[in-house]
Amino acid sequence: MKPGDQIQLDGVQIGKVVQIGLKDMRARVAMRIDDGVEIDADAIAAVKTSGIIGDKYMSIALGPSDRILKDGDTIRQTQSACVLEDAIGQLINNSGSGGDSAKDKSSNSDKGQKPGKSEK
Amino acid sequence: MTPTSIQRILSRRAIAMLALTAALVVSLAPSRFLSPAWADDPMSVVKTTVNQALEVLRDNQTPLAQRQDKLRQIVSATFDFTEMAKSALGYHWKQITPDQQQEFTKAFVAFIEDSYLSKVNDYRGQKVAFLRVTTDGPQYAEVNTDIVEPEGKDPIHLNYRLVQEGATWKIYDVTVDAISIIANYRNQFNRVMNNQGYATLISDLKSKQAALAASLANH
Repeated sequence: MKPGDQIQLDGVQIGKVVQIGLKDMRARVAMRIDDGVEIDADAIAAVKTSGIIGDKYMSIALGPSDRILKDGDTIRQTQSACVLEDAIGQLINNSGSGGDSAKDKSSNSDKGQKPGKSEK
Repeated sequence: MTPTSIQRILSRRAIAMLALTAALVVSLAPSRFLSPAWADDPMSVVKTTVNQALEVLRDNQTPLAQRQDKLRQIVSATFDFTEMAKSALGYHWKQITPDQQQEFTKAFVAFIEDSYLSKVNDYRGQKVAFLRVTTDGPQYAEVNTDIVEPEGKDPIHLNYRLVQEGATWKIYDVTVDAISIIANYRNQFNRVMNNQGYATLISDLKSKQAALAASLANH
């Protein structure tokens, strides 16, 4: 991934990656999420690819929690780029458009293809 | 991703299903199998569970149905299935009625159990290496293990995600070679819920579980 890559929810862009770095030897991705988009504490952030050799993007799958993340919070559950859907060719439509950014959120994942947990 | 790498992933997935079976199978009822140290830390929970499961998998003398029952007990003692079902359904969980939540949880648990129990006979002597624990605050932990193949093949990375519930640590997700079980089910269920709705999802889940149950009964 790289700064500027899309953040998507159900195939619709809801933000962009603003920074990528390492913290405690795990990848940490800072995201800017559009105004009005609510992401809950049990959401899963997954790195995906738009097509077999396409750009990476971060896909958010909302969870069942009633607790909505605030600015600076972290998505705890992550999933690496090597997802089963990719392996069996079930690629997710990545079309969509974004808006202005308002909130910063971040997610952590281990280096390489290993998913990790993220911090609050 | 090349066809070869896809084939390799799918092949490893089949092995990983077996590895997960081992993980799911060996966590017998706490009152019968567990010492007080059981609840102390995530590594003890996983180690005890996996070692007990391997014992059942290695036991070729006991009839298959009894071994499957043992594994079922182990799983229910260690895995937080209600939380797994809820998490797998994602935000749609809040959109269905309490009766539907109960129905979905029951169907999901039966489906998961039968999926992995159907692999019990595929066990080929794999061993488990317990590697490390990483914590994420006081409530969450991840235990990293490797499934070591007998013929010197690459190990399968099997990680357990646990949450502390009172004095007990419960497994709420498992990743197999970096693939999260819950994340994958959430993606699949989300697609069905968005396109066809709850009625189709529960119907499909029940049909698949019934087919698996029939297959188990015929073993």
